[in-house]
Amino acid sequence: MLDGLIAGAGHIFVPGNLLFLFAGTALGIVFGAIPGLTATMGLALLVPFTFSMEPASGLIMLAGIYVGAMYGDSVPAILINTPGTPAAIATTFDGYPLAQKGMAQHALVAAAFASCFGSLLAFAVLAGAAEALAEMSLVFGPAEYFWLGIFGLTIISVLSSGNLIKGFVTATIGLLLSTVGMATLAGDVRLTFGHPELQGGIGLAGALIGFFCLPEILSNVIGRRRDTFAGEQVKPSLGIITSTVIDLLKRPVLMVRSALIGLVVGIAPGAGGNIASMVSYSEARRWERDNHEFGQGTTRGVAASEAANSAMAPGSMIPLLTLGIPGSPPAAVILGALMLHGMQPGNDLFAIYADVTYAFIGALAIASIAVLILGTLGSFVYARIINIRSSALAPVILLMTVMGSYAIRNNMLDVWVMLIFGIIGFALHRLNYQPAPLVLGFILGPYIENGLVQSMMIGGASGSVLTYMTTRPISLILIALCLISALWPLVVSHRQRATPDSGKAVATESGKTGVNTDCVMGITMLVLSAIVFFSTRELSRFGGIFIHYCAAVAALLGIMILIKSQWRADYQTLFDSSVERSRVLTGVVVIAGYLVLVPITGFLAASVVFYFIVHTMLHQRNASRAALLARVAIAVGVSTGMYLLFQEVLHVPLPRGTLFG
Amino acid sequence: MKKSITLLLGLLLPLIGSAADFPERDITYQITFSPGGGSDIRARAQQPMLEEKLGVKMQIQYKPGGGGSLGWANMVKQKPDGYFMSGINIPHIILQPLARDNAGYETAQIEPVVLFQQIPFGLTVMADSPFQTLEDLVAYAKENPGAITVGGSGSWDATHIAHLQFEKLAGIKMTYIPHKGGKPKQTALLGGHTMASWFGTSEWLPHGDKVRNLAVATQEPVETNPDLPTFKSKGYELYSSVYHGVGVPQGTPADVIGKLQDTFVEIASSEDVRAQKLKSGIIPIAMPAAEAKALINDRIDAWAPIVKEFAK
Repeated sequence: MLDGLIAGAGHIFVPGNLLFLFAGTALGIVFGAIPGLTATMGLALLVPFTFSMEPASGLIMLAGIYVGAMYGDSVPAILINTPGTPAAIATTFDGYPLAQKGMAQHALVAAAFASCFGSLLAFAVLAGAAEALAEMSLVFGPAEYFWLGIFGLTIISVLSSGNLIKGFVTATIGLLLSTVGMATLAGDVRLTFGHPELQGGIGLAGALIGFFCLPEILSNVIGRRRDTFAGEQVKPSLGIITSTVIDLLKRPVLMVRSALIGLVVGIAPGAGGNIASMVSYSEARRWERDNHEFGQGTTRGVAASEAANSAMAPGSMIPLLTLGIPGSPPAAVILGALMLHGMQPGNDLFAIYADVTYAFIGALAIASIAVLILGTLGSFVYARIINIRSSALAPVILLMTVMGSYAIRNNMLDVWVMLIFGIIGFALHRLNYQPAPLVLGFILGPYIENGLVQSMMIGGASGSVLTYMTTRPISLILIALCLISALWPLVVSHRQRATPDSGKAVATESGKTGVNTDCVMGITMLVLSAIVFFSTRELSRFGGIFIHYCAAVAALLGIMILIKSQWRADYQTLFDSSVERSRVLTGVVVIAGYLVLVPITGFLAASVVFYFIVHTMLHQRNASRAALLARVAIAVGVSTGMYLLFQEVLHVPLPRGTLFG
Repeated sequence: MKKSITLLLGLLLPLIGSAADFPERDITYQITFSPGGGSDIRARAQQPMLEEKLGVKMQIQYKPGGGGSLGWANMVKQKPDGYFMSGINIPHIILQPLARDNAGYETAQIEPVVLFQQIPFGLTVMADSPFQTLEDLVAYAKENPGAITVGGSGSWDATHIAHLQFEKLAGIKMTYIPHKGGKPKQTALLGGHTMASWFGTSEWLPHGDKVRNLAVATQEPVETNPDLPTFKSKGYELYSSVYHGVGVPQGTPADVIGKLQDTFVEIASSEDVRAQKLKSGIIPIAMPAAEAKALINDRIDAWAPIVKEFAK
């Protein structure tokens, strides 16, 4: 073991390989930071380059990309409320509020430090107990995945404290949305309404970008015309770095718990960082003192999420290196790279190629230190991004949302989905609904459904489905966790009764102006449920069971809030003023126009026009001719620059048009 | 009249010319699965060799979703000029249009260029399983209908069809458990969640002595495991493999297909590539377009009745 690590270190601490490691990490940060680009894509792009390298150098660079991307996704999550990858969803919960308070650098440094800490801790465990952990990963079967998914859903009780029913409503919508497309196991085509393009389902990346990023732009920049993206200007300094790190060092329990959650969830193959960071965040919120700070902007929330999703990265390497089964999509690319270099995962890896294997494991650790260095130094630069005037920044971000949602699956439909999710996200936000439970339902849906369907099949073969699902040891633990988590609101309300002056004051009646949101949502849920039932009548038993359960829950929740709407309704307005309404609607129309234009003229030409219009829309009307010319020049320059960077340098696919390539 | 003929020739000549000089610009190589999957890694391995032999760049483009159907539906809409090709998988491109009302494409709209590798399926159990031979498994299944759980990679894919065919041939009933692709299927067998599983030759290799194969679904013993009995030798006419290759939209000129085919065949026949594949448990082949087309038509005839019988 130790010999192996020393032999591995011999590969890493060579100037050339260290350079590859840092270059890989920097590139990984870029791929993680741009919404829609993923660690997986970055790795896949670089695999051919590794052919011409020594196996050790190639793998060291891949390790850098992998670890870098795990941090990179937190940058846009903090700055513009857009998770760079799904694993950073929980980072937005506190990261973005921090940035709004002018504390973007605090959040960025907390993320870098927590990322580094998470991967180092996971690395220590990986180096010590890989074999044992690999065996553990195999215990996770369908029943365990089902309960893990249900446990994930109970997080809603923490994330939407005080507003449980609203949380359930949005989570159910999320679960239903996750069923669109081909049923993974049964193979039925569901809820596509005759469009073959929808058979691939709703893309997670597009949905996330739309749901998190677009409502902020529509609301703050287009609607309220805020000058800059953040409310406050950021002034980065060295002092912020040290104070943030010291602050987190004082909270070892938080850090270790978060990293361990990431590690454990990472080992369960397939569950990935998405769930890890959510679970870790909600546990932090549950157990930390002064937990009312969570969601308002605290570095502890950022650290909880990032430590977990970074600890997941080495965690998902364990089943890969020992069993040859990748625990995450990026791990699958690394598996491919290993095999192309003639190394077969499994025993071979630790027997014949031990030095290269340990070089790779060591590189994961060194890369996390590279993340800390690049992340803290980089925070001086990134943090200032949101000081840029929003009239210049917002159009760039809008271009990136389109590019990001397109690139991941090369699909224009995903871009429209992004826009629709943006509008839904905006409306839900204004109607006082949290976006997090919807996303949670959307992500967890497939785990719960597949777990349920496979459990029914396997349980059916063994005689009793119920026995199969409830009597396995890990299932029992997970069921216990579900119960504790689900009943938690009762504990909280009991505590609050002890200290009467907290919380309750928030529930003031906002008067009877605006829309009766309960009534609207109640009817929406009933209509949704009816549509789903009607269009899924002919599914096979296993293709339809989950979707029908969800539709039934949707109907039940719809009736519950309709009843509630009759005696204690919640009134909200969609827009602050008629001026805002016309601004937001114009904004939506302009974006939709852009999406119509893209397939006709191609990405570049459409983007120039779009940038110019948005830029002008956000400026004072009466501009001089010189200013107009300058705007045209900026529109052409920025769009072309982005086009070249993504199409030519990063080889990211951009939509082509019928008129111009 | 004369003028219009010259005009017509003027319009047509560049088209004819383009076939002879093909390729003149970058070629898009579409992958119908996510980055990092088997298809991607394969294409990335071919990329440098293709670029060297054809003298143009390969633009690898992903279009995942629907088990590959979104990508194939996208390909058949492209201009049939050879500058857009896509990885194809048999049986996927045959079974999707058969099993779904509207897969977005028809099998006939895809013109195969080459098939460069084959992964035959076999029935695999854990080393400590009570089933020592295929006969043990069949005997147990006869006594306990439905009790044996057998994992596969999905619904209406190669493993599912093989399972249904085998049940019919052997006159037994087992419980088929679909998974979200090949990796979860492997984890499920290793973790004891399924009792047997349909593994491809490349899938059982990494697990070494931990697993035991009962039989493989090929005509002749496979190159990677010569001692392994075939289903045929046990009396079951079961043949099941996944073939990987490349296809272009229907209507692509024959000489363009020929040029691409020759390039791929040359790469697939090289000793290095063959050795690399065998080492990963993959059977290297280099099947030209005409043979691939015949194979596809043969499989449509074989599978259409099975899908019809079970799917509806």
